[in-house]
Amino acid sequence: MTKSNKVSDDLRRPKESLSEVFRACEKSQDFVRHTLTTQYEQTFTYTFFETMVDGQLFKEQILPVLQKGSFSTLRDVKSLIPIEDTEISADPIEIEKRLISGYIFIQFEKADPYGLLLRAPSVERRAVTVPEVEYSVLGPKESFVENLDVNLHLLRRRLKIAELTVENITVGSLTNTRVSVLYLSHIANSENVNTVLQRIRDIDYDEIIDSSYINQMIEDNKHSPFPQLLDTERPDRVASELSRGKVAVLVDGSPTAITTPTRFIEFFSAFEDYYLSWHIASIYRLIRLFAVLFSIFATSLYVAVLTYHTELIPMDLLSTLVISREDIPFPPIIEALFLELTIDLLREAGARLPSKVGQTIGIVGGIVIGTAAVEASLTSNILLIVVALSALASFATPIYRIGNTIRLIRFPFLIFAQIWGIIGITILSMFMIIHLLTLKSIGRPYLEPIFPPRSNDLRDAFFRLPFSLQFKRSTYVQPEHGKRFSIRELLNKNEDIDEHID
Amino acid sequence: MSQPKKAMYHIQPQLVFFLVHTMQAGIGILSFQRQIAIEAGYQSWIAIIIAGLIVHGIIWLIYEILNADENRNHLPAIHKAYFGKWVGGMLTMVLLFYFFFMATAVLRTYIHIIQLWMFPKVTMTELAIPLLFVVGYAIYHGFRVVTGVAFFGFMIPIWLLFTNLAPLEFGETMNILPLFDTSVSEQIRAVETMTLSFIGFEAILFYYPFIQNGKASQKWAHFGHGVTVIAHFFVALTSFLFYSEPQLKKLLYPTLSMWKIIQLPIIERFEYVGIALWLIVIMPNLTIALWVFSRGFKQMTGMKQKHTLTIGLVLSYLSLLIIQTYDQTVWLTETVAKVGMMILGIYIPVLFVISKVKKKKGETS
Repeated sequence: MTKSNKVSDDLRRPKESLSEVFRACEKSQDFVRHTLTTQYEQTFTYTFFETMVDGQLFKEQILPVLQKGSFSTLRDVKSLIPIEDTEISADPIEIEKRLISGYIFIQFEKADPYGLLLRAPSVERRAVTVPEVEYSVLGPKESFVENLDVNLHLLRRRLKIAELTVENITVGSLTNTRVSVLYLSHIANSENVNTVLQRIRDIDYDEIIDSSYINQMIEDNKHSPFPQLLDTERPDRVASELSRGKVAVLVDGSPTAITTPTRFIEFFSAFEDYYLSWHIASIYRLIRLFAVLFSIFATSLYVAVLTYHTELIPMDLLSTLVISREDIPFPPIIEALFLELTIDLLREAGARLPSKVGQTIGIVGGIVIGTAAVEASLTSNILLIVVALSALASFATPIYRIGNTIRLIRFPFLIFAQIWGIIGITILSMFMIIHLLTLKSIGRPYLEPIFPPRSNDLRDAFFRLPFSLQFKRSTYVQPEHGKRFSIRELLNKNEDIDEHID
Repeated sequence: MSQPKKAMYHIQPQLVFFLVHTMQAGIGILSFQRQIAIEAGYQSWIAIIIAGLIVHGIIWLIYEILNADENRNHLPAIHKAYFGKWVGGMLTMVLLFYFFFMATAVLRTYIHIIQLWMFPKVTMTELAIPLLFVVGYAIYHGFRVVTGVAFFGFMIPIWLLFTNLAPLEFGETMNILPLFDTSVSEQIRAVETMTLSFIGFEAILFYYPFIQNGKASQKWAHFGHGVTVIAHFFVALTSFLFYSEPQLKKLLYPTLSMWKIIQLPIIERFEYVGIALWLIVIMPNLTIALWVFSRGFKQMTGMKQKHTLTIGLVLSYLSLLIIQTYDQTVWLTETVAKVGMMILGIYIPVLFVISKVKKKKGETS
């Protein structure tokens, strides 16, 4: 960190002396610097930020010790105070850093160049709550919170082995955000780990507020609308990804973790798939994939067919379509764009409003505007059905980020459908496929196991096959140990019918 | 794990299956049954099998040439070693332009089909520009993506083959009887025409160094070609059963016309879907051929492939401007096919003999 020539490092000159540190701190009104005289006529100067320090701890554990005792050195103080994390320091940079993060600094004399640092931070933590974005009916109901230590605790409790390695990096020249990179050292591919670590170290930015900042900064292709790293709020999901040899990134202050490398197909797998029986989980995955395809193509096919290829549809269906459109004064593209934008407007308004008002918006938007638009002959009711269904389908994606992408790429498809009909849709689909082929997640192919085709990784892609068949870790992660469990028992089961009775 | 970097940029030998097959299957499969029926009537199914076997032999020859010397595993290097810088360079140039015009002919024919069946008023430029852009986008990201295009060019439209089962409802088995009522000269002409549907796979001569363990890919190349032969045989057979001989000879694109028979509850004219999906079939034709062009030019001139690719795309567009009418398109396709015929039938065997002679010389001296 110190040797990097980032621009942001030059903005703040490191303070050279302790008094300079205090001068900078004293401008804040939550900064406390008092001198205390004990009954033995000894003086202490204690310094801290009252907003960062646990006041109760200070009053009950530290002050009484200082008042009662008679000390000749700081070492004596250190041995008597019942706090483990203490340190005697004279380094102004170190002292500044500690003061900000909730340490108490104790000196004998105000002018002393050294003092004792006591760790007494007050920690405001939200209770661990039920996951809201990735809710599941079955399975654990814990989700990450904003406190990094709590999140690490949630993960350590799930992976009880010493190999769970946590590496901390501080990024952000203003926020000094603590970022933890987690991996299982005996399984994760070291190349993946090093890539992630290196990319995080290379981040040169002043504020890192959330893990999504990191996500966007370490992606392979930053200009692609497709997310290349998976973000999740479920500790069970992260624990499971870690056990497959992936790397997880947790950021202090962020309730979402990032896992990588990620395949495209994983964005369509909900973690509940592992809690349901494998047939049901597989069917749900296929339904989700179908929903995505429907969401992308339905409206644009409507526009293409009604604009150019009316002969493509059979007579009976065509008459239904024509009747529903007979009073509408617009071409299909205007109609479709109007409805698509309305739906996205409703979604956006619903997302920004408090949840109770949001429900009203849903009713007003969905029912009132929809019905009124049809009755006013602004849109056909068939298109309303199609657009509403495709909006619904785009919400079926378990990962929020990919749902946004799908809603976005519907619009270019609409435009291409208007220009070149179904040929336009194929041209753009081909472009999308090629774009997906070019993508990589931390250097690993994004479209795997479709391309490059790997039959082993198909066990947990479109389908989730039973656990007894998941004996190998996915090859695209390139794990150091591929085997998950021994399959010998499985192979011994080929006994004959009614073998036990002679 | 010793060469992870290499593995990233090389392709698995199995993928040669897709590269060979998708390069062969293209525009030809829409109309070849008419051409062979003109040559040898409804007995020309024999020619498909014979041509298929001959091409298997040529694939074997190509692999022998490529495996002859490990340091020279692609055509520009082989040419340079056997014929020297200038003559070898000229020969490479001929092949590069052969691939270039192959891509152009495919693109022009596809645009022609769209103009004929879907949009009579659409201009060539309007379709050529986005298509060439997509092709360029794929090639720009390297051979791994080009292979991916070939993979999807097989996987997405392969089910279209089964739509050929629908016309069999109205099939007439008497059409192809009696079997073997044919003459040798007829069959030879039909074999010649048929081989044209199989050209394109010789791009192996250029992408061979990109394959991990090239020797292992030979069986996949044969397999890919085998699937092409089966697909053509199947399409020809269903067409022969469905159409009467005089009718077939009158149709420009019998495969497309056959799709008209399919009726689904929500799709009336299936050939529209077929034509739209056919874009995904011809995409590998275009990308592989133009990739060969840009790669070969890079190897010959030392220019960056980014630049040779741009040159290829622009040249392709300019030559499309010249080829305006249907007759010109047919002329270009036939000329490319004739050159392809000479390359496969004469040039590759000659190259094979030279490589054997050189190898023997190298061993004796």
